[in-house]
Amino acid sequence: MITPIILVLASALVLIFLFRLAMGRALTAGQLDHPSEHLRKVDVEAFRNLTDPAEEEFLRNQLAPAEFRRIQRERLRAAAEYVSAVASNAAILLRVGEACRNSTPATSSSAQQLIETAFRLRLYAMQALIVLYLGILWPGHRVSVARIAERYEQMTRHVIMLGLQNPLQGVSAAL
Amino acid sequence: MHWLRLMLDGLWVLTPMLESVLVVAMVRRRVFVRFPVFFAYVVADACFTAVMFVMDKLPSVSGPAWTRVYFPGLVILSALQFTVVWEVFDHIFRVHSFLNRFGKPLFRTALVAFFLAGITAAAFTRTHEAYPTMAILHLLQQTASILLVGLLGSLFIFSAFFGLSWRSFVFGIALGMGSDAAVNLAAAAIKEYFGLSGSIYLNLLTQGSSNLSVLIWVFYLFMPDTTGGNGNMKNLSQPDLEDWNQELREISRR
Repeated sequence: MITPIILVLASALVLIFLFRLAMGRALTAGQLDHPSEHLRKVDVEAFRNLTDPAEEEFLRNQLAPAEFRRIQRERLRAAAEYVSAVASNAAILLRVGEACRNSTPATSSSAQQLIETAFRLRLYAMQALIVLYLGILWPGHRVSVARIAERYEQMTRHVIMLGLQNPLQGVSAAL
Repeated sequence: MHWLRLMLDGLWVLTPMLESVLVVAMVRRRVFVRFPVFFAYVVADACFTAVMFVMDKLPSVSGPAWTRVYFPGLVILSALQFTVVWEVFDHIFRVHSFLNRFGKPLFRTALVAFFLAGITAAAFTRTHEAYPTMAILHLLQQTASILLVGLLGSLFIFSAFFGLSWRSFVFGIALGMGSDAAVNLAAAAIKEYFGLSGSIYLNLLTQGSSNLSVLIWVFYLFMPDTTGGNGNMKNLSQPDLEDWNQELREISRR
């Protein structure tokens, strides 16, 4: 009796997932019309501070262990917020890059660079989110996600280069 | 029960009619050139469903004769379905060239993983079906549906993870096929366990789901594409080079 129950439940879950996907697709269809409205602001300097190993070491030495764990959890939660914003922006910029890929050769090359960077950043951001959530569970564990900031800035540079060749309606300002 | 039988017949007849509409629309929009396997699948399914309906209503056609046509037809259609899924994979990974290296490995891994899942589910399924032929048929349908749902589900999850945009019609093909496979999976599992081959309710459910999937394909065929991809993004103002240069300078200073 267990196998048919599992299969029926799995089918129901797949149907719900597909329905949500179709609805989500309909809702996000306008992202390319006004990409800057959908991008989330990321303060790279604040993110660097939150994930700075020297800052973490300083707090570890200055605070009582329980207090350090509480503060570190809050810092990592804030960092995870930034990383999820970065991941969401990377997904939108992937689509922007795709949309610009087939125009002039110069734009096409910048768009290709943006796609590659946004893709790598999205992949890295997802890994970083896992690391950060593990860090929230074990706040004593050292967390290293500093490369996110570098890659995010690299992506911003590609957006600007692309924007110089193809107007992107304030996309880089929104980043 | 008479009206339920009428309803089932109506849904049965409706499938090839809707598929004919889709075929004509695909030809008129020349979409069949981009999706030849899917086109072949829709044509084959329309012919198969129509032939099976006529054979079912002809008193001169015996049950075994009907089954002799039904089984090979089902095998051919299932093979075509998997080729359509491959066509969808190929299309997605060709459009997103930076993902090219992931396409084949993802398809192969998902194929092996869900084939094993299908075999395991079949091994653990206890049948209460009175007819051995039908029991085998439901088990095969269940395994094929697990594979289809698994392959399409992997593709949906993978593209959701990277926030990939799908061209409307490719999304529609995958959505229609995935939802139909999910309903068929549930129906095959229930039929197999409870021995309900002849259940009119389950047959209504699967036939209705087939029609719904064709409607989904028709809807997405006529839906405008929202993915862009031609470099002409909508509502974009003229570049303000001074602003861009200012931003570039700020970034360089960091």
